[in-house]
Amino acid sequence: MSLSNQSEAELIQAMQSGDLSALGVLYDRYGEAVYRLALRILGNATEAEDLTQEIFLVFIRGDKYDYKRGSIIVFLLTMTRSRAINRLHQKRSQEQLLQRCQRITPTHTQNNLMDKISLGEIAGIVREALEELPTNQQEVLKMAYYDGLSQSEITKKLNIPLGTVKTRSRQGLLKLRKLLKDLVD
Amino acid sequence: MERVELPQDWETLLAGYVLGDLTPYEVTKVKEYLVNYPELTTQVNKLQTTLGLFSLSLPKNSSSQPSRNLRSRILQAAEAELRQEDKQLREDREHTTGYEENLTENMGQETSYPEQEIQSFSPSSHPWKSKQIWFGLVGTVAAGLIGVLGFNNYRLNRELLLTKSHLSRSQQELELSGQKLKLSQLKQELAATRQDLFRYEQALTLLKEPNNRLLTLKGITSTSDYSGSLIIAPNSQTAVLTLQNLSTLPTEKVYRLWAFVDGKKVKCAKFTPDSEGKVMEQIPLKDWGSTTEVFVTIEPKEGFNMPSGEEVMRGTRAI
Repeated sequence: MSLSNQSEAELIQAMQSGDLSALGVLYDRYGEAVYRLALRILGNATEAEDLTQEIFLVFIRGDKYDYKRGSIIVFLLTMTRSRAINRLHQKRSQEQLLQRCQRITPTHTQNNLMDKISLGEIAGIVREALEELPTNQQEVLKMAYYDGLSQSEITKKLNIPLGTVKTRSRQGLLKLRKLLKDLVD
Repeated sequence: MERVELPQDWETLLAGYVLGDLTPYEVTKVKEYLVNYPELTTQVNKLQTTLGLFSLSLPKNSSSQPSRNLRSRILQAAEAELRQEDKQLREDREHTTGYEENLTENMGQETSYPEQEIQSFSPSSHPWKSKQIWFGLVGTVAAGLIGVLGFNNYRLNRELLLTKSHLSRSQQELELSGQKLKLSQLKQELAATRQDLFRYEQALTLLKEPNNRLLTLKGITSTSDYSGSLIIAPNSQTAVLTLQNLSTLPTEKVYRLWAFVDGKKVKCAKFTPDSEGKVMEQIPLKDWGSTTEVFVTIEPKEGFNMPSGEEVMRGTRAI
């Protein structure tokens, strides 16, 4: 079987044995998604590429990821988001926010569907699910996720009560989790 | 001890926990629930996965694509790391086990080579083993070339193992005759083979890159059986030159590769074949990466900026 058709577990095994082709295949599958997220958060192509490289190098070192415990794309995107927000906050010198963001750790949910369908198909499902959320829930989730803003910062920006921000983001996440049931369960 | 009761809004609390918007008191409570209700950890994980997938909703467009050379940059950096790790591993092993020194110091004892090292260089388990898939090739000719290089890689791996085997056998010889000199020669041979292997591996990695171009080279005269290829890998700004059946030159002479660029002859590299008439060189591209025609001449070792010697090979773009 060619590497490009292999499952994530097989690719990880190949990569851990030092086969750089496997890393190439993983980059072909997930590199763009990682870069897109890095670019969305950092807003700068050079920094986004730099972070994408960092993410894949951390990944190949293999000391932070266990394929038995979750899908690669979730791990990569979670790490990308976390590190991008860290960079953003280092720029802003807001240590408190940095600590808050670091609390979000990679997930460990094993999911078979993620290994069976393409990233494009997963992205399609996520896009559709997000569209089903009320616009105000999408708005606060995006502000928290991509801009790394705290609830109180969102409160100030949108000029709405803190309780409303919390309710919208939590309800938004819970609804999204239900809509993505087939992927996350 | 009584189990902590789960509040009705536990789902919302878990969402807040994953979003990182809980108060310190709420965080403590959630941690308490997670200890008392381990099944809630699965719920937390599912919410984290949901959040992890969130960014896949970002629109896909041309401005959200990384540059084309990012892939090769990452692979090169990863390879450099692997090499560094490998070097470190070898150094550590040499320092900690000192197995080669043991050969001379503990000649009376049975000495075996570290299994891991043999495996890491064996054709069946080497990181860059020949059975890997060559995607992104420039065509069947290049695939053939890679086959040759792959075989060379395999051959070098074999040689490495054989050298180690010789080295092992020499322990007994040493016991009998104390031929320390031979052991030293074998060590040198081992180092040289490792170096060759490393060069081949580097070239193989380059050949797998997308956007590569191939130029085939042939001898000028009908009697010459010089042949070979030049792969231009623009993503890495490198070219790989492989030639065979070249004649040995006098010590003061070298072969030199030239490229035609906009009608001008540009100096690329000088090289000498090995004892079997083979050449395998990696050459930085500089300003001649767009060339479609190259040629090889025989020049003095310290040559000029323009070809002055006999032209022996010429190559044109095949793919």
